[in-house]
Amino acid sequence: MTTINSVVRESYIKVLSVIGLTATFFALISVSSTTPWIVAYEPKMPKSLIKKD
Amino acid sequence: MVDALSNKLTLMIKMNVKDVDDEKAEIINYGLICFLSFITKTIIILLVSYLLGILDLTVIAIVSLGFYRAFAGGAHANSHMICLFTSFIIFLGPVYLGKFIFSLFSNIEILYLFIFILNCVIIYYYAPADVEQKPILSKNLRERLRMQSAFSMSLVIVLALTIIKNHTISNVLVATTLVESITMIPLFYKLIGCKYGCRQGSVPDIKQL
Repeated sequence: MTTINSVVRESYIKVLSVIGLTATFFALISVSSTTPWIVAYEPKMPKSLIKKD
Repeated sequence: MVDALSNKLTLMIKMNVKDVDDEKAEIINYGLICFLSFITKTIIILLVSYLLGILDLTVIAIVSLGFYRAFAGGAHANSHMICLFTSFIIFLGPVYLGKFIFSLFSNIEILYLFIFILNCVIIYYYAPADVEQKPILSKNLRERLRMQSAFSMSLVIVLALTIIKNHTISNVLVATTLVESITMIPLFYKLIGCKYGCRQGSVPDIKQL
């Protein structure tokens, strides 16, 4: 039972990691253009992503 | 709903995945909101356009407008509902404009030329049109995006004039460039309650953002 639980938990963490990575990827490509989100509402961009010369 | 779901997912990731600090969690949350907002609104717009029998033209309008908008920018709504309403106008507007209004013109090339010149003027003054939530502070990036805006808009109009043989599709393509350019002008920003992030000569301090 403990083994099953740990397998389920590991899979759960893997799924969350993939979601996190995908979200980070979308956030980062958003920086390279004005707005890649053709229909999206614009949330406040994290300060760490703002580029300055 | 999108914001709540993104916040919940971010919290779950932060609690369970190693090496996710506050800064990374903020980036993940931002990416999730962008992604979920994009997916839900695209599905709703495509569904409505299917029911109206204009799915093919709407897909063409979304691709064309998205290509130009990625570089040129334009106003964004401050709430999901206003965004959805504006998106309907931005995406279904060019379809009806191209299908019914542009087809009334006997000399369509003159109209295309007029729209091209108008787009160039708007790009020169307003592109890249950023928003308060996501200012583009880098001068180099602004210059590059302005050039890319002019190139993408020209490419769409050239394609409509040369390769595309279907008049309705050509009209829709050119109409998308016009509608996208309109979303960059101050009047449109005022209409949907949006503010420019950074305009020439008014670069805000990054600490104040």
